[in-house]
Amino acid sequence: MIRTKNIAVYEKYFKYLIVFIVSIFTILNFLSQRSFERDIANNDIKLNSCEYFIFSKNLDTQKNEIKFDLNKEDIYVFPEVANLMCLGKIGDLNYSNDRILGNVYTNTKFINIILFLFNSFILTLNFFVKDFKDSTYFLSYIFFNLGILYNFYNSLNVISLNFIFVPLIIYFFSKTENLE
Amino acid sequence: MLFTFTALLFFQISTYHYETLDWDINAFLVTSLEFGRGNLPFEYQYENKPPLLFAIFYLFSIITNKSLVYINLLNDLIICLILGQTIFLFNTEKKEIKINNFLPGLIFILLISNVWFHPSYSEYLSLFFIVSALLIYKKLNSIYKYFLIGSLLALSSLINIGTSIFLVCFLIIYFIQEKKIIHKIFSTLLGFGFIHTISISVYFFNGALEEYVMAMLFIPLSYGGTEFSFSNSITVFLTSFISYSFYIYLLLLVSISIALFKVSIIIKNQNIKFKNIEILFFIIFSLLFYSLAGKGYYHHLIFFLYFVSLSSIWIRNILNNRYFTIFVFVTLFLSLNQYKDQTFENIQNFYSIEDSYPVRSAAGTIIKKKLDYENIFSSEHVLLLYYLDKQNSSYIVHPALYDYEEITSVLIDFDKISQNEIYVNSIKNQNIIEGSKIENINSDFYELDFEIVNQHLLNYWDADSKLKIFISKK
Repeated sequence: MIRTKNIAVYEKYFKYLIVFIVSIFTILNFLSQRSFERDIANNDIKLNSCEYFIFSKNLDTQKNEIKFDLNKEDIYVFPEVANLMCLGKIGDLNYSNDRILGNVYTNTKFINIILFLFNSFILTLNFFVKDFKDSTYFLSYIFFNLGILYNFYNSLNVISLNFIFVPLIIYFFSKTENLE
Repeated sequence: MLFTFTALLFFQISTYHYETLDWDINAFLVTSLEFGRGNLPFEYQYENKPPLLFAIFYLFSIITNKSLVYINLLNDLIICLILGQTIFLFNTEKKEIKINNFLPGLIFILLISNVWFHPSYSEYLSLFFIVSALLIYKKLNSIYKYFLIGSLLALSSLINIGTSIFLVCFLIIYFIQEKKIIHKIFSTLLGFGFIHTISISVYFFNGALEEYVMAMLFIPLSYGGTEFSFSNSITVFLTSFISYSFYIYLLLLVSISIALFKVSIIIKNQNIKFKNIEILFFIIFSLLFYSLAGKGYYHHLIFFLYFVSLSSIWIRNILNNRYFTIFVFVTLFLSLNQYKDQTFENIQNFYSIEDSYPVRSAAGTIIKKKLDYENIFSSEHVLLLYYLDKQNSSYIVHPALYDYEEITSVLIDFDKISQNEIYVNSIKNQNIIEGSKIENINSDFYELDFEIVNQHLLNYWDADSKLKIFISKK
């Protein structure tokens, strides 16, 4: 078990950093969705790509009596790093028979890598670093994964579920099972 | 133990009303009849599996008088034997059998409860020999132990050539757990080599060594060049699994987590020697098997599902164990409930179930009408050849193998098939599948007109599939 004074100090900042980043990102997306709903009501939809965020489990949805017919479109994030800001956003919007057609930009592979790396990282810290407290693990885990679920819902697949739940089950076993 | 076997049969019998769940099995059956004609597999008929598999299927055919229901039942008994072995894999030296000993078997039953795993795949027969080798490794104290392990692994590789990688798995386990390993490795390799020498000798003395080398060496090696995405295939499998049963999927997730938890303990304690560590290597090698097979078929995951289900024996915490056991039993009863109607119906109609089999009834019609079936053509339903006890007109038995360039290229090199034959077969397949250009065939063949009650039971995967059989006009 690793124990250093520096890690204990960073551990405190780490959880706040995660909470801060996820919260800011989520609030911005939430405001973007509100702005989208407002623009629909005012019939003033901006047709720029990645202008609006939408959280919807169903891609054929209805908001303010306007029907949406959205499709997932996988976009590259490397080397087009700027596309990162488009993940979870909608674009290519156009009207067709009282219906708004468009795409939700996704990248399942990238989101899965992020999920895998982050969840493995905090699990490893919790497992090997004594000063990395359980409360920090849980706070980071819950905030990060809920953040991913809300902001990148359409990029997730069954493998994402594994990357979310398997580390949690391993954590549970590490706390309840005999480690020797 | 009786409960475990009953649970397995309950799931398996639910699909007995289908004559064909996977056309791989049809090809095994047709090829197996070569033994009855005094030929060896690969001599005149090729199917992409080693010869012992066909010998076992031939034996099944003799025992059951070619009854597919009883052949299925025999195969399910092989799975019962695997479950029986599993119970004894982890019992303590006091020889007491606890409920924990049954858990891996019950989890395995649940993981293979879906129809994807119901056909009599070669993996089950191979698994039987691999688990036998593992059981001998863990329980037997004899000087012949390692020779026996090698022999059993050789038998497994003569059923499914890809399982040869488990020999490497055993050798790695020796390195970790054993002392004086040189002698043990030598004995294992001797056992492995001994069985393969017998097999090669049989082909050599029958003048079919070239075919044997082609089927057992060149074709498996050509598989290495196939494109395969491991992550995509696993994603497809898990997505299908989650839609089949969320509870069983959760069970799989927990089992994988336990295995990964063990890996983290190894890293943390920097000690690889602990009880039942071999399971971890079997899990890794079964994933390697799936990857090397390079096709992404679900049945290539049978080894993985078996070995990952064994990871439940690592749960030591009494409370965790209790909750996990309850979860397994609840999932089992929920799943059994899902299958009960069809299973009971099949049990009630057990003795007459074969009467509704479409290809069997078509074969019966052909025999009854005394049709000249010397030039019969049915590209998809090779099972007809099994009932009529006929060789396929082509060297390749399984119609799908024409689509695998890695196989056809080797067969062309060995002058077993021609490029034209591949083209003709693909055209014929298209004609039958689409049903649009059937007139091309009609110039040479006429379509057999017969009444079959259960056309819809012809193929589990494609309910619209129709049995079309053509007979030469010549």
